[in-house]
Amino acid sequence: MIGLASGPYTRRFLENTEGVLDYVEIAFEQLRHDPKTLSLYADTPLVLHCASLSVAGFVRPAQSTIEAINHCANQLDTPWIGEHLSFILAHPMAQNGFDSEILHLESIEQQLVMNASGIEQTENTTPPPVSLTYTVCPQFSQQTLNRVLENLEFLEQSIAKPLILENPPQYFVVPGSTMSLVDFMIEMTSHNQQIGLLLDLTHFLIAASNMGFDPFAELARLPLERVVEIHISGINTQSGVMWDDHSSPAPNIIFDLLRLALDRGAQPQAITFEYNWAPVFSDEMLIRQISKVREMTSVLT
Amino acid sequence: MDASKVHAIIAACLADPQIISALLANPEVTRQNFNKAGIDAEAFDWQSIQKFAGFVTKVRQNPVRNNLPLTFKALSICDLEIAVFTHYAPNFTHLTHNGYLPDELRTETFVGFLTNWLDATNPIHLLIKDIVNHEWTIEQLHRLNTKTPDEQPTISFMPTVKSVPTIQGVLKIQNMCYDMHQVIPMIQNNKLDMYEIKQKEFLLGYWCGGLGKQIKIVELQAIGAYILSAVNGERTIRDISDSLKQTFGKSTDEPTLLAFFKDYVEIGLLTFNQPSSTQKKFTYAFNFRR
Repeated sequence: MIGLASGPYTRRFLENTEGVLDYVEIAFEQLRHDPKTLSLYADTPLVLHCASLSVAGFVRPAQSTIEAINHCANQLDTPWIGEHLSFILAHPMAQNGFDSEILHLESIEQQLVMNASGIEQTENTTPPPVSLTYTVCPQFSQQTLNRVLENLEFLEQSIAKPLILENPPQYFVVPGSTMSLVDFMIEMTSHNQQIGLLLDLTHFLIAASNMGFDPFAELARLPLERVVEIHISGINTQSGVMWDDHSSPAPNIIFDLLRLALDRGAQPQAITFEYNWAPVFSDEMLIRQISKVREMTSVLT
Repeated sequence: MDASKVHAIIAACLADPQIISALLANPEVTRQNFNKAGIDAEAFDWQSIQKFAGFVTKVRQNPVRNNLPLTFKALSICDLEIAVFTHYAPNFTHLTHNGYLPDELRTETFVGFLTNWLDATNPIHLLIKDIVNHEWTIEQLHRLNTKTPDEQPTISFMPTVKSVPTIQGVLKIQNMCYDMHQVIPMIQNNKLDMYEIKQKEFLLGYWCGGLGKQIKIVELQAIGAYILSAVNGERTIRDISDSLKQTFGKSTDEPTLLAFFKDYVEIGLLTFNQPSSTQKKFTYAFNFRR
């Protein structure tokens, strides 16, 4: 299946190009913010994407968040939930032995508390945890790995649909990391035989560029047979760093990585184009890329 | 290094990027403070975390991108995107502490920040300033113009120097340094060659009004811009002429002035109110950016 992430022009593209797409991928956070979004895709198969479970974090999401995700998952009848191997919640610094007075953190954290509406206290955290608006690559260490495995065990009991995990982009070295991204993912999948992977090829290229490893050599080491879904998006290099860019088309190297992944055993059930930041996108370019991917994956069907 | 604490530090910095500035401003205090918690402060790439905070802020401006697509594209082409949003991150974080910011206000706030942040002595910054002024002016005209009436009043009398001109629709005058006819196609082709773009100061009138409410852009001479800026629905043509003499040190004869206004009446930009029986005098000062 080939799909497109829900964005400002997705509905128009669906109407203009009937039959080109198999599904739309929609974010839980988008639905939570604007439930009316669902009505745009009444006749379209949907896949749920999520960035709220903080799988690689040390603070679990509120029970109300888990219930809301389950509700969406059932409403969409999604085959799986794609979540990030990242964290979006964290303990407040003051709770971790940092002297908040020196950094005037009391007033800042009070503001964070005031803004923490909807965030229930979990695991007896007082004050409430810090809640971010974007997922963050975790420390790749044994401690984080243990936590991820615990979180997955918990979520597998709590989440209504199978969970697949997306590799994060790496924009800076997280202090205390003792493993590479690929080694971490190998360890994780060897200890949890159920978890599937959402291979984000752009995130992988970004990590390779920013962290200085060979994307092709490292991609080949991943347990590619565990890949359920693949993400494709653009990149943008600014201020010396490669960044994710859902407003520009994926460069050719992304398709080279896709070719490698397929040749090395990846049999994804779905490939999603994440072009959902810009208000307009070239239909012609998107159709061309979709056709290319269909051709590349035709041997899988 | 304890992962939970490392995550806590990164999360705090991203939730409020001012924390990064506070940590960097007092490196010895930071080091001691972190040591107490068993964390090595020097292991953190603070600059990269700041840039990531800028990236996250950029992504949160996606609604603004709809209103300022050329600006965003120009920032990207000029490798200024992350720099801009890294500096904007602390402002934006505090603005949104009390909840979601509506798209209109989000755009307005960003424009205010960007036009102040850009350095007018840097040609590339000056170009971006023109682009954002151009897009924002058009956006504002669209918003304001929904409130103006559709009908175009006809003038049934011969205007004299005692007549009071009025702008129909909305007019905004901008000081510009680069020709958007040249710049916009370049941006749309993902390139900006500063050697090909000539810098010169000129004035543009952005007008939205009349039938169809299309936005028209016209280059103005300094005196023309002054005269149109002086039109406020209360000053007579004579009031404007007197003020013109005060500002520029020379007067324009009445036939020439009436002909000027006649041209703009014909395109629908101006109309005239009947002269008031009460004569009012104004002292008017208009500052051009030089």
